[in-house]
Amino acid sequence: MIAAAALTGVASSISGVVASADDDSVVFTVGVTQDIDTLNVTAGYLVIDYEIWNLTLPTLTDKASADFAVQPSLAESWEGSDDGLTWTYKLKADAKWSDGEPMTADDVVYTITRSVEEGWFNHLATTGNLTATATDPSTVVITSSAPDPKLPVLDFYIVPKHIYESIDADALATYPADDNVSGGPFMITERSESEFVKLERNPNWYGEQPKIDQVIYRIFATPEAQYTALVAGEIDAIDDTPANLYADVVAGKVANIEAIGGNNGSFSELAMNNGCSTGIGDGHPALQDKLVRQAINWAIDRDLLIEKTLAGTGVPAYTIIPSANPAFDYKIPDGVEPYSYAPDKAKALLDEAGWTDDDGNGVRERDGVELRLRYFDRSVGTGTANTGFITDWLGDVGIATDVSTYDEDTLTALQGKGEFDLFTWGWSPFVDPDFMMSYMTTANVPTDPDAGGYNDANWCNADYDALYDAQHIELDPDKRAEQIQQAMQVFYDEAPYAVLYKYDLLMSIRSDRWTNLVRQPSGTGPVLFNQGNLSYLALTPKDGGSEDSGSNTGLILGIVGGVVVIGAAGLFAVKSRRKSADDDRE
Amino acid sequence: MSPRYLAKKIVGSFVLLVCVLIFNFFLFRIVDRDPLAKYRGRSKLTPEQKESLIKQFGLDGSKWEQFVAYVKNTAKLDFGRSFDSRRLVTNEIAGRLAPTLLLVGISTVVTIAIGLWIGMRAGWKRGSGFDKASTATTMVLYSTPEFFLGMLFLTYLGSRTGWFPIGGIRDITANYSGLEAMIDRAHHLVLPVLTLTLGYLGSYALVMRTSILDTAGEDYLVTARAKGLRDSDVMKRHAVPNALLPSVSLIAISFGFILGGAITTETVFSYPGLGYATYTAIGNSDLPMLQGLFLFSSAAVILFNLIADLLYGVLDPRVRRAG
Amino acid sequence: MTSTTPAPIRSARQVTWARRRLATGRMWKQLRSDRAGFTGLIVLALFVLMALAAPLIADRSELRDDSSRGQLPFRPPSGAFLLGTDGIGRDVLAQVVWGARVSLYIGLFATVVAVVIGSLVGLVSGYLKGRIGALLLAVDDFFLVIPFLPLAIVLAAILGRSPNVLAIVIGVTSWAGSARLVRAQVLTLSERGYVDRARALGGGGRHIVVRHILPGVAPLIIANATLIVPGAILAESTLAFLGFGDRQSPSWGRILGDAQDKSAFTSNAWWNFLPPGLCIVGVVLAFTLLGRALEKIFNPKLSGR
Repeated sequence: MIAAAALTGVASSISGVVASADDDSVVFTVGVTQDIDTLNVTAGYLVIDYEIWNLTLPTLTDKASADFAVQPSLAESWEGSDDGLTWTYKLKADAKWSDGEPMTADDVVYTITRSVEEGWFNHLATTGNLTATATDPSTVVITSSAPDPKLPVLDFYIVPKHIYESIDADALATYPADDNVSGGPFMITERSESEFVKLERNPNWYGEQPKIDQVIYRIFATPEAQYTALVAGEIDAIDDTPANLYADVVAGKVANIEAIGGNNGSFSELAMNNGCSTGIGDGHPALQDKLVRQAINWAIDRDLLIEKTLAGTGVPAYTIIPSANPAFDYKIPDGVEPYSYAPDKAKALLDEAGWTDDDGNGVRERDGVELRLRYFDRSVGTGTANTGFITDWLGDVGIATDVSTYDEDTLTALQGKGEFDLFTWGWSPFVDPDFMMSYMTTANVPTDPDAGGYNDANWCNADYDALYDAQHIELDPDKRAEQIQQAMQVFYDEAPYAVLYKYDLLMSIRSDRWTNLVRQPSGTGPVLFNQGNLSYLALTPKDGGSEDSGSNTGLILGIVGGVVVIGAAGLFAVKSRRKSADDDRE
Repeated sequence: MSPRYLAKKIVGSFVLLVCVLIFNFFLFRIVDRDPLAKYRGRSKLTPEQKESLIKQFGLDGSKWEQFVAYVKNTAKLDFGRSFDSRRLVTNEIAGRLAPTLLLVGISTVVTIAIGLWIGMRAGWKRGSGFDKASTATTMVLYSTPEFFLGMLFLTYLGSRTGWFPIGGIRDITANYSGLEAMIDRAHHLVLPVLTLTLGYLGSYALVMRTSILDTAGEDYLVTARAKGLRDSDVMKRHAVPNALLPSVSLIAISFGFILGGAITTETVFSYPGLGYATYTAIGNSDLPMLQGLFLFSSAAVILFNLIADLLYGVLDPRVRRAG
Repeated sequence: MTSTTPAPIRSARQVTWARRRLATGRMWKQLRSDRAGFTGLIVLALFVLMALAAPLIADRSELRDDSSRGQLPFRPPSGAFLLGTDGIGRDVLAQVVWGARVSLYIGLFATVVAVVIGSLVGLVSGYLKGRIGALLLAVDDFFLVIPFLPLAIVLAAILGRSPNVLAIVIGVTSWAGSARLVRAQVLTLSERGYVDRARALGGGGRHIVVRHILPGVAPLIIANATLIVPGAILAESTLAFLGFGDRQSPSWGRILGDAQDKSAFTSNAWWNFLPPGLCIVGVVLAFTLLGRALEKIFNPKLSGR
């Protein structure tokens, strides 16, 4: 019995070693804590979705790793008309989709036209004003109906016409995008819900071939589980290192693991209902007063939040971050004091606004209305770690809060209907500031409870709108940057949000297996989950990296196999002995 | 077992199922979740798009019409589409069923074997050292929250020692097949199975022990002993089979319950089964998924209760006669 | 116990109460002699004491998130912090001690809800055996069949997560077992002939239930209640751990959930997760031991074990 068990053990450990020696394809496994919601490019909006589209869908232009400068992708070159409204792109000849079909100007025209017609939200902000024609299979002429400083950058995802033309608009809404036809450096080969997504090199990719054969995204329930797997050598990189452990990684205390986190402009805020959309919703009237909103900004200790919630991996922020490119960050002018933790200032402002605690119960009121705000927490994300802090601080200055927790979609619906006072969320800006800034314009305030809107602060400000409109069509980069700064100044003064901080993305990678880690932008940006796929193309395996886990696993399997067999044998033996022992008396 | 008994039990189960169906429908209509929310925040829907989406998610028509559609669809095993993945709920559930069955099946078998054995031994030798020690241990295990046990195992047997993988169901980078694949799966199952087993061990052992103690004083056993039959024979041939009866029920019923998803264990181990699916569906307010999962697990419990009742009817002569 | 001196004339009620006091005294003696049960009672008393003494051990302000200001996370136990600090630097002892209040409160309140509903349903369905009884039985079956955890989470999502609401939600999802038990006992008692005799003597329904059935069922309900508390406390801690409980109150489950979020397990900050975990085990075990002892006392047939 025991001998049999030992044999099994030895056999499986041998086979374990053999298995790994055969396998010399280069595999890069990334741990993620978020499963794809859908690969349908007209419906998905999660970070993991974008990362996979970056690997599987072509774009006309790309963004340089160092500084987001425009560079060729499917479009080899381009030329603009004098008025800047018409651009002609010359595409790579002989580009193909992974299924062998040619990738041509028709695909580009088809994508642009259909995205406008059907309002594909991942495309509309870029293609909304565009019309396109294919003058020949590798030339596209694109015209914008209004001056657009973003051009010639066109990095919307191009879809394969030959697949999508047979899917009508209704079917597209629920299309699971499992055609696996790819136009990028990788193509999806296998997917298991809540488990993994496997991508393999696309031999038909028109760009530089990656040094990786396979990319696997493995889904974990928690950041802690994926960190443990990383340290154990089961995976190569993770998208979200637990903040408390990240400090150890940065300090080099964890063998073979390197921190590759970076900043892409992602920020968190406490959003307030500024009460713009008249007739919709029931935001607390106090929040319509700038003084109250500023008071809230002074009541929050951003530094402590960064220290406790982010374990120090962030910087305070006071306005929205318009772009992943830090060049656009708002610079507070000299003489203006940035918000800081000053409860006395907050109290003074609230007094000035007319909210006083006359009945001594700790909650301010005015004209019989209590300053009691609904605080909506999200059920996911780091925001919830801030709730206790923020509600305590608001309580300290006399603002009572009632906390409720909602999932993101329910929260979106409530925000669309204007039925909220405060909630915590965050944004990740794109590279061009126009997108993020547009979300705070009056045009994006929900006017129909059924329709919703991006402007989740319900904030209307004519000055901000004017500055936004100006930069929207300003082709001079310096003038445009100045307009953006001024718009942020308005935002800072009016404080429609209490923006909390810009937070770093805490990624880690096995430094013993991988090298040539390219950040975007250089120096400060993240290596993975940035604005394109260039890091995946650059990633290079170190020699002798990936075989280790194989033999280890084999040995462990052997041990386990042995234990299980021995255990079962033991139990069996005990049972049979009991059966045969007749004089078992105690 | 009389046909009347059988019929009564089956009809009862069916009625129960219908009640669950109705409850299911209304429970998830009360939850204020707007399936179009995902689309709203991000884009302006045209009226035609809205209408088509509403139709697809089955939200058109009056509550009564929706209910009728719901019943019809359920009969066809069509639970609609998940709000998140937009795939058919039936397919989503089917895809996660196997891992959960594997986990729950193995755990149940191991728990039954060990739990019953412990209970038998402890009950038969009441007051012995074994009885005291095993009862104490099982009671402590019974009092430990499943997630706590799971986290301790994951940390101390998984990450600290490296003996076992950190969750998941298999090694997805290695392309194992055949025996290797099975061993890999077994390797990944050890900790979750250990967690579930130890968690439920207590109940089985205690019930079995109680049953044995109950029957130990019964007349026919006294008779058997007086006739000179040896203790172990008496236990084997008379006490155990009778003591098994309540355990049979407990086993069947527990299997049904756990099938509904060992939510905590699967979540702690990132194990992609029905339990983990329930956890993510709740977090995302994915109503069609929740409705489907709910129904599935209730149906499983009803089914296994029925099986338990029928088994009882076959095994227990008293019930058989009462019909 | 007989007395030789002529006893003063007592009213029927006095006699009943004297009998009850005697019975209670006997029960107490039995409990004292049941080592496991008595240990459970003592442990329970200690936890209750800890919960009540919370303000003396740690000031309420130590529960605030910003009480972590200036303190390092995951400091091991020391003079200043007997159970060290948690993932953001708060005093773990303060949380565990105040957490006792939350966990015990929710556990007990949920049990009360479950027992009240269960007993009512059991009593009525056992006594009124007709159609109403059958209907209630069906309702009971239904609640036995519904998967508890998802239902509790969904209800909490709809109704809110304050401690009271959570307790009600847990209670509402846990009463089915009690009802069965009570109903069975009611049926047994009915068959014993009290009911027929009482009816023959002219007693109405309510009188019979209150005077005859309830006293027979009460001990069972109490014993059963003691065994429901463990389930309620485990349920609350599971909900809190998964993140579906009340985030603002330091229940032991929530402390564990936070510990896991902040990677206490990976950092081996055992002082953060072992104390709350062991507290749960302790309280649940205590209630279980006590409950089994009470069961034995109230059901002499079981005392063979």
